[in-house]
Amino acid sequence: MLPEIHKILLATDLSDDAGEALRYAISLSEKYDAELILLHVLPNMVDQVYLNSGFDFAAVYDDKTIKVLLEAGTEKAKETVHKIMQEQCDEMTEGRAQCAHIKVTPVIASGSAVKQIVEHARSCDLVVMGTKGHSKIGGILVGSVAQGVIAKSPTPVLIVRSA
Amino acid sequence: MLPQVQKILYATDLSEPAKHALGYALSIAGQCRAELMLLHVIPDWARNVTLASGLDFATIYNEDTWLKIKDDVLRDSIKHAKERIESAYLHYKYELEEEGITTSVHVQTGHPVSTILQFASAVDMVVMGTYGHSRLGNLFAGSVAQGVIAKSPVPVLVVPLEKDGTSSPL
Repeated sequence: MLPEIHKILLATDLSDDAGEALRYAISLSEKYDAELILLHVLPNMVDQVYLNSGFDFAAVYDDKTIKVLLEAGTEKAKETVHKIMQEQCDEMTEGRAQCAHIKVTPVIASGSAVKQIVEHARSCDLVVMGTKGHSKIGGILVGSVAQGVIAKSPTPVLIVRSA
Repeated sequence: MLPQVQKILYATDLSEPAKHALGYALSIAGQCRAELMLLHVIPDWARNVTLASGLDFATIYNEDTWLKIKDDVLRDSIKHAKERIESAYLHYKYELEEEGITTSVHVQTGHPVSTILQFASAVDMVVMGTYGHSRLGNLFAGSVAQGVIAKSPVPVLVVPLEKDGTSSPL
């Protein structure tokens, strides 16, 4: 029995690099008639601010306020991400009637990119992602997120280098 | 324009993970109607023995004997590797050929990463297997897969062996 592919997960950081991966993901979804999940992982805002500036929200606000702040930030970010995903998809599938039947589901998670991608990969049959995605460090051949996902994903990972 | 996969390279070291990855290579070749190349690279064993043990065959055998042994071993291993690859996918080979999809088996000697990369430059996608994290802890893929992923000009599908290590599709 050959493996079946019904659900493809595209992990995207919304960069051009991930755009190339998206093209492959759409192409394969068409070929397999598979559902396409677009996953973007937002970093935890409070953690990032703390790591970068040393400003600890917990010292200034109580837990409830932090939660409200986080949720407000995340809601706004989700809207923006949805819009970008939609634009990227439209751009790539323009004029291709056969794309209409692909079911595309955007998913926005927050937390550690590797952990979230691997977690979502468990319920998918194939993961597609770019090489540099999620990290902006130049000169590294394979980004740390891609490396982490390859090392931990139980699902096959298609690594796409941008042109 | 969406990318079209017309030629797939499946690189195998004849291990269990590689066998598991073969299923994906065959599946994608079938769905994309892509030509499939199956490649095994035999490393330069004599050199590896010399590097690992310090034993230099050239000092033990005279040149003619040594060349003969080397050639014999090489011929045998190429033949053996070809047979093993062919037996692994024989059933699907006919299925694909019926649909007009060609497959070919290549056994080469040389450095695995650079040989795979040479072949990769002529295809649209590379498929390889790795031990999943169950076997090698936190290691990032195998060293050959790692080298290929880092330098491949085309997308690389990395297929981990399933966790229990038993369910190989072929």
